[in-house]
Amino acid sequence: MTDYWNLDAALAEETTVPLRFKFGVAGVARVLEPGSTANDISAGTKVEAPLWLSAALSRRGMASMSAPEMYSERYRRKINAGAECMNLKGRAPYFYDVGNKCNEFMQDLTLSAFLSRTYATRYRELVSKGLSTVSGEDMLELQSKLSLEELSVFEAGRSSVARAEMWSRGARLRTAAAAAPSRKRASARGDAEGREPRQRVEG
Amino acid sequence: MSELGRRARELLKELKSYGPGTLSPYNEELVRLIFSEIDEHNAQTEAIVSELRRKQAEAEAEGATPQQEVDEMTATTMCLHYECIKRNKRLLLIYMNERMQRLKEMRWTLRALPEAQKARCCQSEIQFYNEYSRALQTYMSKSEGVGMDLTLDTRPPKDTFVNVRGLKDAGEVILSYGRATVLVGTTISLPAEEAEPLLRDGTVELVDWDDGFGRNCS
Repeated sequence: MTDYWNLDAALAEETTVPLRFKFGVAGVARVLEPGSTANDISAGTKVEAPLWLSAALSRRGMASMSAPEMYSERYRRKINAGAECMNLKGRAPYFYDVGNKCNEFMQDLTLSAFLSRTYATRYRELVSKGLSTVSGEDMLELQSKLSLEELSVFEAGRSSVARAEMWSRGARLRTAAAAAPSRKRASARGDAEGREPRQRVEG
Repeated sequence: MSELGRRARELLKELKSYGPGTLSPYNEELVRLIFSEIDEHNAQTEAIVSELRRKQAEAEAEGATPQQEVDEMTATTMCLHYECIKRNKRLLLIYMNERMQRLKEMRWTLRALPEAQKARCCQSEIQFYNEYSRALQTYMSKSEGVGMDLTLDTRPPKDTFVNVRGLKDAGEVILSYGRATVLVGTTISLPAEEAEPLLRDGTVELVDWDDGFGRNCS
């Protein structure tokens, strides 16, 4: 989440978190608190604000933020009971990024332990099992469950499995090259091909 | 009233939903709205500052020592506006940068800007693309640069002609020396630089052949 230019990092910071103002704010109540009639937010009011704003104000000591509901005791119990059953994509697509960012301010050791435990379980149960899944239907169901961070790990794993299979069959990675013909990959592929058994066809 | 960067978020989501390799239509309307949102935040900050100045001047006129401190609520409000401006700026920059990277990527992989993508660019993006393309061309030209087409050759060529085998029925392709029909399994021989685009889109695969002297082995 530290990369200024990253699109996903920016979108992850849009997740709303509970924020309690220490001193109040003038003129923005209608935006932060839908349905509010006043113009100003008084001191001590709790609102739902995007993470980027909450983090910036918390850093200045003007407000205090807490973690979203997804990391509350109730959800933690639920996730601990069966991490692989939880649909993270629908509820918290940036589950780990947001959790880590919140933790910067909360310094809650149990939260970081909870995050890494969740990831470990889900990796074992979903990502690595998913790599050997053959049915397309299972695959779709799986992909609709993974958070975006997990999805990118999963995609990377799947493409490397495909390439390894291709290598063991001795075929050339033409399709992979067509999908992502970057210069770097092209030279790496050239090296790999040198070791492959060659297919010779009469010209 | 400000919307805490909601518009900028929509802008990025739109670009993301199009996935890598394609561009979303340049959303001029939204970009303009985001600019006006930034202006609004700026105007509100300035209003707060001038209000404070006025109060200070009043206090001075009355002979009291002017109050330098601002109360916390005003400070929070100003910080909020400031953060909103910074946020909007960041999201706009990401939007522009991401589109620029995708344009560059297209120059290297497709070697031209497809019409469908071109229609989605704004004027300055087309200008950027043309200039980037020209810079690359100059670099690759014989007279001023390295004299090689760097976007070619995913692997070093052994011969000017290569043999390829069709992987799908692509019908007739026009080559520099005539026409050839690409069907599944047919093997044709054609100049390496003409084979490259076909290899990239997966229509054909490269066939190695041995000329009996071991010269053409990879």
